[in-house]
Amino acid sequence: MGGKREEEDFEEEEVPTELNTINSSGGFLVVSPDKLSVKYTSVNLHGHDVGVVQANKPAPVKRLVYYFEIYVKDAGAKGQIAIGFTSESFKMRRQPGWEANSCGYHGDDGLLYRGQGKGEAFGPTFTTNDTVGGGINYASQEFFFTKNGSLVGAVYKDIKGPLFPTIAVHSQNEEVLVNFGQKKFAFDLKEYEAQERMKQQMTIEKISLPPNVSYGLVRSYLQHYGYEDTLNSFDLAGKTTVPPVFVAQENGFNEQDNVYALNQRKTLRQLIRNGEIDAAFDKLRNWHPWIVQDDKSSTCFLLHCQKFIELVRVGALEEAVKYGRMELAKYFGLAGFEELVQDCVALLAYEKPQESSVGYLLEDSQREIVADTVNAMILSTNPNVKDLHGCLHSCLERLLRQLTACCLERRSMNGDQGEAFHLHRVLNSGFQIREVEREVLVSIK
Amino acid sequence: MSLFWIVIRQLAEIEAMAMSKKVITREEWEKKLNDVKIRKEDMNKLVMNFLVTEGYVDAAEKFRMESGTEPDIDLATITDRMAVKKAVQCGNVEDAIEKVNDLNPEILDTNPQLFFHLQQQRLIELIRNGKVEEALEFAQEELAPRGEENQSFLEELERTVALLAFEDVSNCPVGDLLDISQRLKTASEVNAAILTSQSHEKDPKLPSLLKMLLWAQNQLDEKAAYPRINDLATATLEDPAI
Repeated sequence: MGGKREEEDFEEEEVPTELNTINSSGGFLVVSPDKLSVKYTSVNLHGHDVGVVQANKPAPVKRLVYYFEIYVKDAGAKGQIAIGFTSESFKMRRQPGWEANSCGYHGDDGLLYRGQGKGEAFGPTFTTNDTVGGGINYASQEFFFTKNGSLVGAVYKDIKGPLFPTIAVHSQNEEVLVNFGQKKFAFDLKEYEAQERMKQQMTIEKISLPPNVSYGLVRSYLQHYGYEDTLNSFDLAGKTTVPPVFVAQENGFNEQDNVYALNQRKTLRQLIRNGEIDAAFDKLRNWHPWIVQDDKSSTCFLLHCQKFIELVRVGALEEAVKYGRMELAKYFGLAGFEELVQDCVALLAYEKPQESSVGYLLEDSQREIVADTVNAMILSTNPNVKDLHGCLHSCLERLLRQLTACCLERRSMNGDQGEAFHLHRVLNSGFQIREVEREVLVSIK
Repeated sequence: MSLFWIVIRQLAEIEAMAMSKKVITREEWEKKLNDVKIRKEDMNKLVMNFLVTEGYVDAAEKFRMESGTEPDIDLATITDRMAVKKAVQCGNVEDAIEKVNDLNPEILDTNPQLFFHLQQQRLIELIRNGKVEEALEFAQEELAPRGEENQSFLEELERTVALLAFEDVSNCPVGDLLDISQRLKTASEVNAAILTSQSHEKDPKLPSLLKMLLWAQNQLDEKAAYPRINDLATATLEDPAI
């Protein structure tokens, strides 16, 4: 329906910005006033007086990767510094990794601890002046760590639930600074993300498609929405390409259904896109009167609203009011129509309606919705049509919906972690891969 | 008969449960599909991107008028690019090289492999037309020096020259070089290089999205039983089979 345009689904999540001073092991450490550095103030006597501090928020999950870094300002007496991730209920006197549901990379021995007392060989030790990073890769479901800009290694993440970036200090005078992204990282995170996406991209690219399936889908898209001129050009070009493109038709009358009333649909789309609603009504009364005979149908509703919008657009406000009283009043109070009708009428309240919250009605996309609805209605008048639902969505749209639904379902089964699929983002993201390709081309030169 | 299908469905569900896969009914799945928001303008962009990358200039122009979608590349550049592609597809390689250099002399300068393949195609055309002497001269003067710089070029050069050794080229081991597919391969390469030089992606996005769909379904198959689309051309949902 022609409701309010959906907000871009931006997955707003809170991110760690500073250290949490409330639950840190207060007796053993002190956090700086800016909450971005920590110093061990105690004397290390045993394994339960670690100075542990978590970030103020857990790592966000609705993205490809989360990452943060520490800078070891002073490794103190024994360099027993750790970086890692812990769950909310972590015992704040133990090194990350020494307890269940935690993971830590330790500077004194270079081992990785994952919930057992014993660590596993992982990477180099780290000390004063080293920058060490810890991250979660949601695509591969791994923890990974870096030292001075280079990747050290990764381990499988089998901890579920929110995870807090955690740092720990344990010997006298140890001091560590933390960076949650406010400053540039030593590690090239963008490159890492790009490579991760590349990996997935390359797996996908290896999949083979039936020949000419894209060509066929574009063709059926043009037929479905009535883009007659484009279709004719496209077909003509298809005959003269080398080799000529041939799309096998399953059965003869699939073709017929797709081009049903093609010229009429094309004409109506043009009229509606130009805002000529009266003319559109005329044509419909001529060609398919049953579509517009019930004034309370959604098609009539959308057309009347659009007519009203067009009057507002040209500033004919008095005429718009008259029209509204005549044709829109009846829709008030009808479920499903109310929101749009209210938004339309609200246009009258503004001197510059295009800049208001209902300004979306004046955009092309609104005309498009009306045109697509009329298109679907005409397709449904085809006596041969078997699947009414098919009149509403083109094959291409069905495929894109399936793609989105599968990605969302898989992500939801994964605890909602990782990037969601957004067609919009994919369409505008091409250049990431291109940049990597360019590097490769330049390096060959 | 319908009892039969009910039993089939139940068996599928039992099997899915045994493999601890989540079962999603047709009804549930269709509701999820309906909740997805796809913008018409995004689909239009996808179609325009296809028309433009594949070089359907007239269709792109008409689509711009009929849908109001702006192409993401200057349509004038498509005509030039298509002329180059056509020239290669028809075997007029010298003409194609001239046109590419007119378009942008840097393309061949920065693409030694492309340039070699174009020269190789020229050689193939000379051999195809029976111009043996010219072919040998061309191979020795233009291609041999490139072959010396690069091992894989040398190997391809040797393969191409081998064509001359056979009376009946259609049956020889390197006969595939005379196939039209070889011309198409070179034409595709040149098309891609021009697009890249114009800061445009060399492949349309639509095939990648289709592959992504196949991949996403395969991934989800590991964890759930749900209605799949198996025939991309018709995009019909099929209930999970046993």
